[in-house]
Amino acid sequence: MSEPIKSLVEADRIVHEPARLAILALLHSIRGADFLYLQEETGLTKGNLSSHLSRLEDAGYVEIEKTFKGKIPRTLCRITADGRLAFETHCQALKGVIEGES
Amino acid sequence: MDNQMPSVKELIDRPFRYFYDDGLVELAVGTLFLAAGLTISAWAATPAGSMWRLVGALLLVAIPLLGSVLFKCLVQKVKDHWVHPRTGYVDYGESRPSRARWIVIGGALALAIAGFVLPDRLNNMALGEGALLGLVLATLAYRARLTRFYLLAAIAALIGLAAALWLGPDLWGSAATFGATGAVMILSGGCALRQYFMAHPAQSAQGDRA
Repeated sequence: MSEPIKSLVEADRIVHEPARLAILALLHSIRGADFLYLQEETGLTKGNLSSHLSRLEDAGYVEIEKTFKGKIPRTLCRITADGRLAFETHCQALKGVIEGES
Repeated sequence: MDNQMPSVKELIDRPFRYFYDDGLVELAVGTLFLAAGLTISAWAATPAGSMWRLVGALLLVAIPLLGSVLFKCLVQKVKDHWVHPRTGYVDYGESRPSRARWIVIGGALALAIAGFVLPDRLNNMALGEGALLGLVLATLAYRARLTRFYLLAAIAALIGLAAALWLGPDLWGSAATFGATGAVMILSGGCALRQYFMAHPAQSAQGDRA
């Protein structure tokens, strides 16, 4: 098995799932974003997004902080160093597979 | 999610684009440019050595410095009140030096050098300012993937060129370049803000707790 294919087979399944990959991509270049922003951008339902964020939080890829802006609750999500590394590694693996094809 | 799947790179860039989506930054920067244009024209109209020249010079320093601080706070307040409850909040953190910033600095240096080389009959200052504004807007357009910024970049460069050709080598060219570019940016920002509010009507703020 070639190295890129092997890395794809052994892909981090937490990151590989499209919705979670999108969440990590959105959080990658910023310090953080709230739940509403992620929901607007991904188009996921509240329950679905919440479930994906919980999976990412359990894996240590995302930190979730529940705060208040005035009297309005705000759920702030941040990518962790591990999350950033996992995302970048996964993107490199995908790139390797795509470039290996040509 | 959209039917057309965005690339990962597009997703990474989306938060950057989000900052400009609502048109508030264009409105603020456009107002600053318009104010600068008006100050330069008032400066150009006053006789040399008059007290108003000194006041104008001080205003030209004060407008970008105080204006940018004031508008940064104002844009943040407006976003907190009108934008974040509708489409969410993004914490951008510390701004990092980007490749785009180096392109703009390089472009500014190239323009400064070109200013010495170009023929005297042109208003090199207006031409350079128009080109620099165009370069900044085009860089932003590329980074934020916003088509209207490309249009603004072309308009700013054309305004600079027109001012360089028809207004002669004096301050009126600079005044026209900044003033007209500012007015166009205010118009563009106003349209973008209207479109944003139409696409995201007000809803009762219930927070985002999942």
